[in-house]
Amino acid sequence: MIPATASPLRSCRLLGAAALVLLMVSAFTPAVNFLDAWIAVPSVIAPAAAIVVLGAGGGTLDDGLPDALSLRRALRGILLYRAGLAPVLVFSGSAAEIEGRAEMAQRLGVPAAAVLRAPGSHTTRDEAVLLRELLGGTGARRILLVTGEQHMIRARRVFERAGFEPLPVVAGGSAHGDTSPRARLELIRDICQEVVARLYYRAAGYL
Amino acid sequence: MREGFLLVLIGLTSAGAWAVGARRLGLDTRALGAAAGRLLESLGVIVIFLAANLLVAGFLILTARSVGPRFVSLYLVDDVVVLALSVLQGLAFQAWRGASPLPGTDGRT
Repeated sequence: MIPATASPLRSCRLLGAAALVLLMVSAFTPAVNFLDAWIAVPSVIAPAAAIVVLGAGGGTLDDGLPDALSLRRALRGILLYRAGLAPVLVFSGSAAEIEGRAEMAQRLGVPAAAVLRAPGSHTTRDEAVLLRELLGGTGARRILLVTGEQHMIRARRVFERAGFEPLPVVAGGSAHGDTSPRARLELIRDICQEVVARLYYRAAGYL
Repeated sequence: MREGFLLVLIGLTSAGAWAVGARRLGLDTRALGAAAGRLLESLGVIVIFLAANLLVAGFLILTARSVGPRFVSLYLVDDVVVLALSVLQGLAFQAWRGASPLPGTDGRT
């Protein structure tokens, strides 16, 4: 039997077959949903010193509101604040994203004094470092960390390394209950993307 | 339900293509096996182009981050256009291969 690596064409066929199988299994079976449910971090809702809503890599849309993913995270944070779980609501991300979120929070009844802004960060690690500086003086250690489902595992570890005791609150991300082929493909893309990000963070010594 | 519908849809149009190919165009149905192999090859080439595009993009972005004054996000490459263009690259490469047979393949791939 000729080894698969003996011929580039054979290797291409094997790679193509693997890609086809992965595509079909991902799109047409619940395997990805099970995988996502298995790796998901459950939310822990409890009183904390601050609610930290991480940026979603976006800005605001033409109407001045944050885009969909950013909006979901911000709304989750606002609801946690309105439930009285922390005295401070911190928005992180780009300046435009933060302003859109802060304005929305105030319109939804969060006092301006309770909203803190942490602009200028581009990555999850930047956010953790910046928030350590922002909240370090207040002694806030236990925080409600609001971010997307796939992002949570990495974000939680990065914030732990920055000295926080993060309580995960999942908002947004791909819903593992959505069983349409498109949603499943988006889910496997998000999972793969996060796996690569985690490998990069490990290689860079951030985790 | 939706998965079943989509699979039936693809099955129907594939059966239609088979009927047109075999009966109208006179294509040899025994060549379907070789065509499937060619399809898998093309998919493999597309995967290689996609991986290469992502790796080169990651390298360029991380290099730009370390030497440039502005932050460049890795999410720059998170665009379905990268997949679409990788498909085109893979198909173009396969067409090129088809037009100039590789040595030792006897003109067949």
